Amino acid sequence: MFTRLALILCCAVSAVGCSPKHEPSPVDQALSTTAHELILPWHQTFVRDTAELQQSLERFCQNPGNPGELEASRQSWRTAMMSWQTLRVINFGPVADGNQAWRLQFWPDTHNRVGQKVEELLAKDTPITAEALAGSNVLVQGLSALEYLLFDPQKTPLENYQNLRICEFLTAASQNTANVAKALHSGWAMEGDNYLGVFLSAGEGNIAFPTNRDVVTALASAVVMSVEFVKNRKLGEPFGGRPGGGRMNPYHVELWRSKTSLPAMQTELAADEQLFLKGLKPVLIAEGHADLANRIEQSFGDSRKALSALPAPLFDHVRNEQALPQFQAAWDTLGQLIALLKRDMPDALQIQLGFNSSDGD
Amino acid sequence: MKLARLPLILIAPVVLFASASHAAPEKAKEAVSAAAVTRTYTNLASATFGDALTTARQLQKSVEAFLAAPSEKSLQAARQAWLAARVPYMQTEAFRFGNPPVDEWEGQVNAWPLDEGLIDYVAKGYQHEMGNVAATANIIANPELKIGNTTLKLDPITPELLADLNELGGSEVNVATGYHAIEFLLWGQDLNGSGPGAGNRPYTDYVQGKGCTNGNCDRRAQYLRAATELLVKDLEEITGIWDAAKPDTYAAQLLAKPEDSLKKMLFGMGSLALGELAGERMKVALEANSTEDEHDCFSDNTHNSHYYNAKGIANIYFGRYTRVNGAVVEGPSLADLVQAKNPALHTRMVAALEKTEAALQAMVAAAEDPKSPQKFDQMIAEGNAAGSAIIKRSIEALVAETAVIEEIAKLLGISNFAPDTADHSF
Repeated sequence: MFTRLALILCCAVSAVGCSPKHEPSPVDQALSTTAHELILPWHQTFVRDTAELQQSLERFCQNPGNPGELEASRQSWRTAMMSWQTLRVINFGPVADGNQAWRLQFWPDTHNRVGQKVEELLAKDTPITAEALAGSNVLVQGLSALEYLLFDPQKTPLENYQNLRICEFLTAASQNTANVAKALHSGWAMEGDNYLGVFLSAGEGNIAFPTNRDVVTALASAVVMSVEFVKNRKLGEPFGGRPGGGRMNPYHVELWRSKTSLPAMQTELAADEQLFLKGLKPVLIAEGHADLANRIEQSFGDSRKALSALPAPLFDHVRNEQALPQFQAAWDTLGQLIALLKRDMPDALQIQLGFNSSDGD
Repeated sequence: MKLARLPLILIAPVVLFASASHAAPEKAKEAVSAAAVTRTYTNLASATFGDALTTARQLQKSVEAFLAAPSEKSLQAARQAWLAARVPYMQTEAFRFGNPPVDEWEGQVNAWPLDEGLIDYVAKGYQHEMGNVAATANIIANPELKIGNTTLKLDPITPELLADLNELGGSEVNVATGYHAIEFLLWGQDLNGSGPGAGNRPYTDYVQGKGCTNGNCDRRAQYLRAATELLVKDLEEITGIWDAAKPDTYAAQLLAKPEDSLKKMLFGMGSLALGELAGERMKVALEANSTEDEHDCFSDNTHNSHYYNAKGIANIYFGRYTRVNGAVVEGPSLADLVQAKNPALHTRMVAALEKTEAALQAMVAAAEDPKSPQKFDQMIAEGNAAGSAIIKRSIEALVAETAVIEEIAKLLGISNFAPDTADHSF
């Protein structure tokens, strides 16, 4: 808010001699827009959706025989999970402090470690509280454990929820999830730990971001890592590496229990695109690379289309040979996007992608 | 883009000149060439893989002796030989990433974690990969195996059969071969979770005829013999590619393109340090408190495996490897190259490597403490703050080391350098 006000003031007086050196650079402007229009609102939405999930599960657990409340809770879980899919591209700042991401979602999980640890805890007789979960292994703490409890085929018959311990777990894990969401938001918020301030005040003395080019690097690395995760892991893993690789295993699909894999991929890619459009594209344009910026934007659009052509739920179609061409097309399209982001964009922005990016293939 | 590069090129000779004059008073460092550094790299690879081969042959001798006369003593001797074979092998892993012939070959040799129910009997509560149709195939107990519509003949158990069975049913965790299959055959499942103790397979699992425990001792012996023979063959093959004296070997190709090799060296170092060792082998096991994600989970040798992984990275930087027989292989190194161009960066790299070494040395010391040893699977137990701190310090040191490796890549003009993180962010 303050930044915007300053902008407006500066422009207003520029006609009467506001010195050009006070005008925010295109980079600063892009970063400010990214922070205020994406990063902060995404965190706010996640806080809201996880709080709703918590309330919804509390309602259900007051009357665990009510199928309508159970379905409402599942829907709240889906909404909260999609908020997380939007947020997960932001892999720097508060989320990196103590690996918060894994507390919310643990995946890939080929060996069903989540189910294993949830069952171990259910079999004990220690009280399950949000505090106890917060001090436990990451697998039992958040949305992944909740997915297991709400969607695993062995758990879903309504009578299972009469088991008091399951409801104790559901409410504790949803409360812990809401707590993590609040802490992440507070980590960014100006009225909290104000990582936003760190993000927007690159310069000497700022250890995280000595120059605003370092902020651009963090954004670019985050986008690259996220798009690679969508391609190599979310799309590749169920096929043993890549569609057509011949090693299909539907249990390697992300979120196979809730069958929300495809919306999750689309949501994450849409967040990547937003981050590119607001945070990186203006910088590319300002620095004379409009052509590359447009090609990347086009490629995001192509990738979006390729994903929307995939059959859902992925779990049911991994072995579907007729769908293989669509999976391969999505793989190739995302590959082209990654090539632009990883090969061309760093040179244009004069940055070196940090070790937050991964090599992929 | 082009403009931005130009000043760099202009500045470079000045920097070189300046650092050369600074370096002059101590010991005039000979300017090393990328070609000379690559030569050392291939020599080191040849020696390290060569040692892995020699120690695997020793393992094979011990296994044969054990199978000829199974006893507690001969089993212990075979286990010791396995542990000794891991020392050079783990150091070779710094040559894995970035060198496709090694990375592609590796799956048959060191794949992990594995669904051991594919190989032999397992205890109740065994956790395997979801959707893995062969996770409980038990090759040792079954001369025939039906998977889907096909029936596989699994008799006799030969190295060729095992190589065919690796990744059976299209799953990477169906590891029928390599160090960890042999480890499982020598130690058995570690059923102690996060408590003290490793796998405890009785030697009688290999006693022929009367006295055989857990059944199928003949096929179990066949399996152990075949897996060990295959390991030796595989190591012979990979050692061969590092023979620079022969034309057309992989080493010869690298020597022909020394500039590319520098990138491979740094990529291999960074990817092992960050994505593999800090990420897959430590962070996952720690954050999930998951003993099944421990690297040498049957033998409880994980601390040593980690230690020698890190040592392999340092070997490449310093261009120096101490062979199993004590001989030293060394030559012009990355260290020389960096020292000549940016002595301060070299100093920081040395410090980063020392810090990693110290952190992992602390892990080894804790694991081998004579009074109250704490193995890696105990360190990752839920609520073990002291144990988790040991691992976290190692992870942090490796993350910091990788950051310096990236700076070195930048210094050497390597663009688009991004070590494989296996999707871990730190």
